Amino acid sequence: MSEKNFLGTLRTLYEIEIERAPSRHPLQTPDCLPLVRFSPKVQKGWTEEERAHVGGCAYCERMMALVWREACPSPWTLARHALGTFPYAIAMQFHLERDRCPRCNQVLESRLIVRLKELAEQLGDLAASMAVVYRGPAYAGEFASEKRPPLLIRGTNEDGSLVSTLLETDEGFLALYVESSDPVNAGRRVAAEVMMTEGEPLAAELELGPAGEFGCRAEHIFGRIEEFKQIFQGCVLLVRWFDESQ
Amino acid sequence: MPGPKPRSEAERLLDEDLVDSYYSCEEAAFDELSVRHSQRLWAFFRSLGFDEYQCADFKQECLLKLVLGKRGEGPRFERTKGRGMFRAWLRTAASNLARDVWRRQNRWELDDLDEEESETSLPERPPDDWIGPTEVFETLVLAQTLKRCLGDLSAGSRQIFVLKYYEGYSVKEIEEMLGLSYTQVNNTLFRTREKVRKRLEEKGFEYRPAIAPGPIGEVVLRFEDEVLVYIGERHKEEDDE
Repeated sequence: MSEKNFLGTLRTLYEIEIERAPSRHPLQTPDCLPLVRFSPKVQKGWTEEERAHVGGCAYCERMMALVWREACPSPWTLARHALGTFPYAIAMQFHLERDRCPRCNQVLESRLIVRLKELAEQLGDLAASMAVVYRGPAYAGEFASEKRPPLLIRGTNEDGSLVSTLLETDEGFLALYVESSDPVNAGRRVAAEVMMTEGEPLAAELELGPAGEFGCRAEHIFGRIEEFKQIFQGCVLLVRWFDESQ
Repeated sequence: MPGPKPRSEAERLLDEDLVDSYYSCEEAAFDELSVRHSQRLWAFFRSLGFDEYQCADFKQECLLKLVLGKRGEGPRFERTKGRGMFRAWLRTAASNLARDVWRRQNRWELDDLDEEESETSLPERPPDDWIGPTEVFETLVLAQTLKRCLGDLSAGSRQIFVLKYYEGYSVKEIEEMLGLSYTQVNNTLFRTREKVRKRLEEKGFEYRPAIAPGPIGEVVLRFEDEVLVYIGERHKEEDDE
């Protein structure tokens, strides 16, 4: 048996396999969205027609779930799912049950969901007004400062008007910074909560002040980081525009 | 008589040029890339032993990586050299995906190839209801034999074998793709190749000079100087005696 022909045999069989490969996914129909429409940023711009097709389409919802393998759905999307208002249940089921995403299953079991339900009942649709960030225990190292990077989590609400950053300062304090790129938001108030695995949530109300021509900002120091060790076991930062009617 | 169908502009471009076009908002370029690579990706995953549904999903997942990279939602393809770079990028993504799946199942390892082979018998002759040329049947038996043989390899060894002998990557490229040492890749290739070759012989596949195929056996594949014939296990034993 010559080496050359043995390798030729392998390649020939592979070419046969390639030829018999189906050109489309077995669940795909001619009406399904092309792959380029499944980028999360593009999904936000889906037309009504596209949304109507995707909801309930086995292939399209599966593609959504495949995208979530790269980047999990936002906590807000999970909250909508828990509230029963997320329209793509097949995709979510695939992600949670078939892919068994540990991070998303953990968020769904967390107090965040309970809190979001409460807020939804109080305030109605929250998506446009709230920045939610989840930091899973996978990122948590030991508390000793020399063995872990400084805490830093950051989130933006859906319309991009609120950018929230929770971080550990160089001086060892746990600080929250909230920024808005639109100067018109100066004087508006935001409510912030940091939920941790144990203990009461940290809460603060901040008023945005002008920050030159680049918008407005506010900051709040919760205290020394040593006081909040449990934050490294996982936490959720939730920042929303304050409802002035309250 | 009409000549061959003229190639569109997209068809004439290199993969890497198509990626550049796609990143600069030319969605048709993605379609062309998808056409070029879809079936090959499917076959790659199939050769690694995944079922047809998994292959279809994984293939889409690899192509989605390109979509996500465009908008900074995932790793982006960076053009560093000329031809072939995109294919290697895509194959690295596919290899990592397969490896992640195996690792979740605690199945990714390189084996020492001393394990027992799975003993499932293959049909020696076409069944009575077989419709189609015998040669096609023999090719199917060959493909099945090879699949079972690859199925006996550990996930890691199988991946290296497929990347080298099916996809045509060099040892150095595989080393970079999988993050293994040159020796690990080289040794695995040598042992898997010998094992596969031996197994094919045991199952009754033989290479003979092209001019003398011998009294028993069906020609499965033809090469310039040799033919691969299938004589079957039983006939092989008779022949040996």
